[in-house]
Amino acid sequence: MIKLEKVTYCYPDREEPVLDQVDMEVKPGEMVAVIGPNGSGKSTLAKLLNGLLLPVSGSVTVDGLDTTGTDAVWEIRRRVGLILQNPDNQLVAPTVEEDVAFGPENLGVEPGEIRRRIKAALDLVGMSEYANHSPNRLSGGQKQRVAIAGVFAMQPSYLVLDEATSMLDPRGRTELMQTVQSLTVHGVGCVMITHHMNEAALADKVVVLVRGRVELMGSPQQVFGNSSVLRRHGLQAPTAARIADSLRRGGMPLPQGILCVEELVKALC
Amino acid sequence: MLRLKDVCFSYDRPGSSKAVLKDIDLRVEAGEFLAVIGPTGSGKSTLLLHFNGLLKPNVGQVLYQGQDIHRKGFDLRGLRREVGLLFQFPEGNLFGQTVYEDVSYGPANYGISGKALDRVVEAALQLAGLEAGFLLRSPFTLSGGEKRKVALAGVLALEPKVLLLDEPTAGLDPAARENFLNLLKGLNSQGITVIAITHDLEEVSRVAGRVVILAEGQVLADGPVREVLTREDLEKWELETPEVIRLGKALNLNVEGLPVIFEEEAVKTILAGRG
Amino acid sequence: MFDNLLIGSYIPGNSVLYKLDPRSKLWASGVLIILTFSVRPGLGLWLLILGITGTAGLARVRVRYYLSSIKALWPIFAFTLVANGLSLPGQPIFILAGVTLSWDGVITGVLLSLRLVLAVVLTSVFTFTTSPISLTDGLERLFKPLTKFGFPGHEVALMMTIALRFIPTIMEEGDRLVKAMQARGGDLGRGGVIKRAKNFIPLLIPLFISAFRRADELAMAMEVRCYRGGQGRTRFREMSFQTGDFVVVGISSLLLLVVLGLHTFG
Repeated sequence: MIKLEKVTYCYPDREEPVLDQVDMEVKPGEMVAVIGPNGSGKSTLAKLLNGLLLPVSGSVTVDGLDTTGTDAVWEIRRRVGLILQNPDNQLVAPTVEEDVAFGPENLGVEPGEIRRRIKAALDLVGMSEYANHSPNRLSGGQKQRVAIAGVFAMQPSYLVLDEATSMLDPRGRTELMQTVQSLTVHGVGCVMITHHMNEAALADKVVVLVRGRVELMGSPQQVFGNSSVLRRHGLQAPTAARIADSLRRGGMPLPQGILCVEELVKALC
Repeated sequence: MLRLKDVCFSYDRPGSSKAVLKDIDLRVEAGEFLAVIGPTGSGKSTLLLHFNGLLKPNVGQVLYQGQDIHRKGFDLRGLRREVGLLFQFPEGNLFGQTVYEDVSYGPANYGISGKALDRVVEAALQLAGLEAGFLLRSPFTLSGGEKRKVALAGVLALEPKVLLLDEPTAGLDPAARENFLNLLKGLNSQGITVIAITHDLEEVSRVAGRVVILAEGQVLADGPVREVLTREDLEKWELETPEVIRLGKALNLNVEGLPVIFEEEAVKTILAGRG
Repeated sequence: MFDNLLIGSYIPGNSVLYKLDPRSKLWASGVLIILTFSVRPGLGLWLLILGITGTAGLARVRVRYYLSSIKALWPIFAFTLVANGLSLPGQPIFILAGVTLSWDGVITGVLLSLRLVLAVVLTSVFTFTTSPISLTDGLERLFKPLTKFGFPGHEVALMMTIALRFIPTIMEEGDRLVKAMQARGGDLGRGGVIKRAKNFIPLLIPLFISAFRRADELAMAMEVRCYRGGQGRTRFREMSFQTGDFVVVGISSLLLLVVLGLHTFG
């Protein structure tokens, strides 16, 4: 489990905390979505989860290892993978295969095992036919999947995706979400920082971060049902949830927790 | 006003002779807001680059106000003043030390200077939703959304009649996206013809009047928003039918005989139906 | 758009030359280039021509690729011919306005051009049959012993790898920037020298800024994947000398010794 206890973080030259007393847990195989308006500290949170940044107060522990402990740094980085927003700037090598090999090579894994891991990783993300391709010719979605394969080859327990879909087209986003779901099935705990509410609706748990504080935390049904809080911070629930809410305000009795069109249709018929 | 007539185009690449655009015939009237949608790789960006002459068709003509823009003697450079183009992720094209320097690049290329230049730059900033205070700031200290507006101002400073946009809201968070869309809507209502490539069908329904589906280099559909977005075969072209429209279809919601495409109409219609 | 042509002009294939270790190929190419420019005309040169043509044959790459490389260099050949013909003394072919074109000069020019063609064919064989990745790999391994003397072998090889990876990306970015400039009435070719230099600013500044941002993000991505320098790193692509490699290194080393011997004592 990744555990954040009262984590506070400020940038070195600023007084105002970017993250303020954040408590959060991520269990293996769980999908946690983190949403929030701009400037809420989401990206900072991503970097705290794998030790790229260290909390000013409070603690971040990964499977019991504290990120501030200097000897555990590389082990923590191995366990908590991070995928960033720009698909291009994460791929290091001139071919897909080489890039996926990069992580295991850094860990000193022996060549035969690296080869096995590359195959497994590319199979998981559905990019096996592209092993010898140049990353340059891939679409954004494909590049992100290769990036995920590269991290998966290090056998992480958790994966943090920092707005990994925001530069992708709808097809790329769908492919990525499918990959994330495969990962959770494999027991990898995934933290998705996103502003696409329909992605957040697929998570097991949604955390709403506003100005560095956890404003709301719960299942998607609980969080998206709380329309007043969302509206106050300029956030929107998925379309179906919004429509259900408008209908309820118009006097129509509808069950709580409607998140997608299918559920709404069922409730109305 | 603008027309692509029987246009065919393929890139001259070693090992790739695939036609990117095939037999395109597309007319755009002054003042329209046209959205071009379609799966990745369908040739949408290539199509857009034909409208201002950055790409030349292998077959066919590009007509601006009736004239072939590739015939000898046509002022292509002058055309680009009237037909402005904003690329995808245009923040990456910013280079000026100040916002003023960047925005003035366009008009300065056409010989505008001095007070006239100042005027045109300020007007463009305002149209793009930025206050005058931004003029002397470095573009690189601005937020993503603000940078994009600076890039837009850089195109608006040319005072174009037509605005070509390649995925104008790509990568923006919901609030910034809403903001930018309203800007574009405003520009269109002031008479600027807008041709926008987009993947977001929800935003298409909010701002566009007409939609064209481009797939595998050909025009598959061309018609009013309500007609095209409610088609049954959208999924086939990797297009996600917006949730409201899916709801409308499932519940057979109609307003004045036309299928529902907006949230407000959906809510009203449902409540009226059960009232 | 041109990443096909750019990446070291590697042409995928599977003749015996593709299977050789890049290190043995590097050694053999190096030796053969030295021989190309040092062997004297006569039997030696003919053997060399035979040898290089034979090697090209082993590569099994279409002749037209060699021809296009050679064709690209025709100005150099023409210059070599004319320069030698005009400057060397010997039996004159004709005299024009006080300038003599001599037979000996022309023959020297032809021979020199021939050596250049051979060098081009040789390096082409090498680049056609060696993928850029295996080249950088080979270089990294060759550099390894040098790291004991403080030479940053691993870092140099990694830099080459990253450059190979990003060159096509940055070229496409440059292309887009030029189009964006044209869309705003900009024109790279216009004006006097100073104006033309200024015209590049909207191209260079964004490219530099984006390159720095890439470097920053890439560095973070590498750290996230536990990169901490060359120590303790393994390589998944295994390379070991096979029989063919020993043969190649053996023969080329022998040839080198023979020619050196002839030069010293001949």
